[in-house]
Amino acid sequence: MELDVEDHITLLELLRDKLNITSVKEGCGIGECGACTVLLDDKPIYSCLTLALKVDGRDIKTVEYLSKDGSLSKIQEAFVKNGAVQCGYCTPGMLLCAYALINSKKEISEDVIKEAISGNLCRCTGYIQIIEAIKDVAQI
Amino acid sequence: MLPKFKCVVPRSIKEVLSLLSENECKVIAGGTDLLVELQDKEAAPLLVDITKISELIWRPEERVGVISPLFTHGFVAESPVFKDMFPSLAIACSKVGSPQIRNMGTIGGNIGNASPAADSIPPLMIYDAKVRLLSASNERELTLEELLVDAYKTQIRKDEIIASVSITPMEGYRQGYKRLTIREALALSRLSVAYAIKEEKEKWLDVKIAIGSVTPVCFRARELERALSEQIKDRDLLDEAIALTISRIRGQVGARETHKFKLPILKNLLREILWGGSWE
Amino acid sequence: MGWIMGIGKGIERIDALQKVLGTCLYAGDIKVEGMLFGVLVRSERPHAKLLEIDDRGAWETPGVVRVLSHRDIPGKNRFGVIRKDQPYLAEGYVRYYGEPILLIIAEDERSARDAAKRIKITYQDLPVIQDPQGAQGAMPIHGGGNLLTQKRLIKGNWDKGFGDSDVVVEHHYLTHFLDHAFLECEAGVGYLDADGRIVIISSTQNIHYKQKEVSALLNVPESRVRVIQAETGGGFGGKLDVTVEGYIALGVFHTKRPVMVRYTRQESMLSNTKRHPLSIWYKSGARKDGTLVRVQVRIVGDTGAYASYGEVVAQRACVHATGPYEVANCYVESLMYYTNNPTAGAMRGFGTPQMAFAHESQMDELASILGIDPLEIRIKNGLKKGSYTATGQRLDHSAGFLDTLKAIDPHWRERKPKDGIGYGIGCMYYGIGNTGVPNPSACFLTLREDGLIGFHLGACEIGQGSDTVLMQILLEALGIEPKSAVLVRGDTEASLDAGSTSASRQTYITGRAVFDAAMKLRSYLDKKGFYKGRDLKDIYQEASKEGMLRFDGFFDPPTTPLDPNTGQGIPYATYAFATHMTQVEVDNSTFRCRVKKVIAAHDVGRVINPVTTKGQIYGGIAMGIGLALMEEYVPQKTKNLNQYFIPTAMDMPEVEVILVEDPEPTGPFGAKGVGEPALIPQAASICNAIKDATGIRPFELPCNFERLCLLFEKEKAIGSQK
Repeated sequence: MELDVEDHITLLELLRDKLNITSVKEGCGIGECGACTVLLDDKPIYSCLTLALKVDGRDIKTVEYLSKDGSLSKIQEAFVKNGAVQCGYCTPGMLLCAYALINSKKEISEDVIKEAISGNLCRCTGYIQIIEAIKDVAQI
Repeated sequence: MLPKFKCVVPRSIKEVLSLLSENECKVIAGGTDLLVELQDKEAAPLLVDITKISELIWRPEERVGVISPLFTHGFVAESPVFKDMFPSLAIACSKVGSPQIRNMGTIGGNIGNASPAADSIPPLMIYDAKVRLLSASNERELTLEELLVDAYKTQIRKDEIIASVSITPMEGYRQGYKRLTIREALALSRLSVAYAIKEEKEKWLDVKIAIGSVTPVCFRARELERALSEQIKDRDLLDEAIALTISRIRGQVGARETHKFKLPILKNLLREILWGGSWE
Repeated sequence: MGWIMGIGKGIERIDALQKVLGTCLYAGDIKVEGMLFGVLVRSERPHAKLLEIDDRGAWETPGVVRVLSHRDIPGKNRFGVIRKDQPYLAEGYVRYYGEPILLIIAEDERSARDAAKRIKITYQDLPVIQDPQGAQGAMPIHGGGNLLTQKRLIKGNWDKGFGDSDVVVEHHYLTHFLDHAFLECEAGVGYLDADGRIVIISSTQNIHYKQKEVSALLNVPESRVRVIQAETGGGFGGKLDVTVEGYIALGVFHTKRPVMVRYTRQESMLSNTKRHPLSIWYKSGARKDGTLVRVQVRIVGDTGAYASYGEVVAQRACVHATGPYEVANCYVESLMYYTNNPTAGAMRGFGTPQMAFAHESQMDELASILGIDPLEIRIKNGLKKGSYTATGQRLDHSAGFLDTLKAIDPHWRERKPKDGIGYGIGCMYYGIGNTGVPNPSACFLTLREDGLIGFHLGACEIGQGSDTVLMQILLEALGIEPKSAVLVRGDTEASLDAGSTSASRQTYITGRAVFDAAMKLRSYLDKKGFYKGRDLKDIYQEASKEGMLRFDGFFDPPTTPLDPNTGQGIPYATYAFATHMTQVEVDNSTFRCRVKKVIAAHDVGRVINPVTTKGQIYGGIAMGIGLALMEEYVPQKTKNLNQYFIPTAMDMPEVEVILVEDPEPTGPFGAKGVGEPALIPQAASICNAIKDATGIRPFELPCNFERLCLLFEKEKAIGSQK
């Protein structure tokens, strides 16, 4: 898609305000909570700390991508099944980090999972069921 | 919210240097420090995004030991070249912030921001880092120690960018990086030690220690290094050497509240690192 | 009836799908055509007279529509959950740094924030009270002086002194301000509907309370105010007080246009109520065999600039001071002071996590001096059926504390001593529902033309799972399929008051109200042949003619008020009990404490949904790790999440949860509550483990590496002096 944006607009503002993709959340505005996480060329970044113009010509994935063919992805199903969702505010960011991890070539262990989501804060779940959901999909 | 500003994305080094020599600018790479700094400010100068400059993009294998300022922490942490030849730096980079920060934040940005708690700086210091600065009219090289002036202050002039950082491998040395944080991720180092130690079972041959987050600028503990070089491993000697570092810190910054816990912990860490085995 | 539909089953949350799809709208996601944006101008002084306010700069900012002050408030400029002592907009005087002074309404957020920066205020600084200990003699911040409240609890021979104790342990425990740090900051949108009635959609833990406050603010009848709960991204007690709702209402009132107010994290941390710092002097006396004889406790709390839930916290701290133990003689004094610190209010536990830190440390100290195993001393003194609590309440039922200790026992026996490793036990009991006052829940069910059952719930889901759990109770009680009921939740227009989502009360109290409504409906449906196979659509037709379309449910737990002098009474109808066992590893170079494993045993009465129950316990453990090791809010210093640390995934231990069921007869299918119990014993458990690992006892939270190192250095200094 092609858009004109002012230079000072962050990717977060672009996604939420201009494109109405409200699944990307603001939690702190300074890259310390992960609620604004999106995938840039399949790598997790904080959209609140990324200028929109930086992603010119690049691939951005938000959580809608995971169910783009009309059904839940495995990771989304696993989150639902394992109780990994409580208030849901951290969920889109968590799902994207999980998705990026599972699709990377990394060997997955519990420690690797914890590190992959270490930049996403959650105040409700204590992370444990999120980790279980990711283990579920990674089959470990 | 960020103030309104303009940002340009030059493609060549000539372009960026010309911009810097003619305008009030701020260089932006990953943006993870700068965009936090600019929050709620009234105004910002022209931002110059340097991440597309072709001359700054190369693979580590192509120029071993020469770091591009655009290398992200994540890239260095995962790169076989760095993990193999510069493990202290690779470890330090793997601990910065969080995966998202590591995917965007760069070595150049880490040096340029010059935070006392910057994680890449202590390892760069033990690898005797030399920083090449380019401007439209000049090229110069400074050691990292010369470059860092004070907390958040460097010798980098308004019209200069970091073009590369050259480091020397320490083959045969036991290398690593230890940091003290309040939690396991998304945390600044409250104390950090980068080390490279060449030793035999009973003797220190050559020791390199760089300490961060205790003084406004990271420093090489040269008095300790000299005291232990070519010495038989001895606990009393080690404690004396550590005491030299502690008094150097006290001499430099005076008594600080944070020293009440940082200095005892630093002492413990240095004992652990240099002794090699269990201190008890 | 049998458990056919799902009590005890971990069925999928009914709100999970939209959350994983990213389609659910939180308050800040809502866009209304023509929406204006409101931003508050806040005090930059902790205690001052406002001599002059120059708002010209704001008015001159393009896009600004209104600059509102307290003079623009049509009704009452005072709100508060118990005592209405807090102004929406300051009246020439501010009591804390960040107190709202003006409300700016503009066409967009940037303009509003720019305008806010251009306000010039001249302050006359006044003496600042930072320490509640000094508040007594200092300049009064409020009309009645700086003591907000004083609670007392006396039981048995409370004035006899400690002569009857073989061992006496006395210590001082200290905790500081904490922030809720919910991921979603406060936000809301308001507008006038076609009838000119004000509608507010906000992130909140209660709706009927907000409706009442807005009605008083605007001086309009409650029927002219509608409050709808948006999907809420966490609360933990921080969204019980009025946050953005009043400002939204003011904005809509004056502009007649939709208005959004949302807080950035910085604003949230500045304005959000905090956990009360408590200073606890605790003296325990026991006999040689470990039996507790008496406790004497003095608690001094800092409630900050305004009352909020200060009285409740003072009361809860008092009532729960002994911990889950039977103590014949108690003297507890709990004082709460106003200061010029940020307002402290409700935060998960209402003072009990801080008290648990104290009473559990005391139990371990007693055990250590007497040479008794820490688990044994707790079994010896633990509350059980037939025990009398500190308020003189006899526990007749649902007192599974000993079962939780027994569940921990085999793990406790398996401890392997190792250098740097420590194990600690932390226990708690917690009264479910508000303390000694009525706190009913009401709800209703409807028969619908489409053959579904309308489930009208005023209870706010804030992530803890109440929507799902209450639905499970309904389905089970009615014996119907999951898709047969439609949840209509969180709208004052469409529900009765189910009270706040706080005090771990929704499963127990609203759950019982749901059960009550369900039983009435069930009886009717039974009469109409539903359980013999008759279609609900048919039944609807008949019911419609009979005017029997709505079935109300109600429950108010049986309690009695506490005697104002002795604190004796029946403050709660039921209590949750728990024991946590924590294994920590303390690095003896850096004094970093890492939590390796937690085993948490909880008596929840009856498990409605094991997945959501465990989820609450995991979350509570995380919060307990934060309280014990890393969370501290320093007024005027802590600005954002780079300065306030909650646990990350890498900070979490291995956790095993053991759910114990000692059914509560008055609860829905025997259920009680777990939301706050999940957190309460965790920090205490960690502190006991630190003592076990290092020989050093933390007396101040958080016990981060800094504090632990200083404690160690102090011990070393004392040791070397000997």
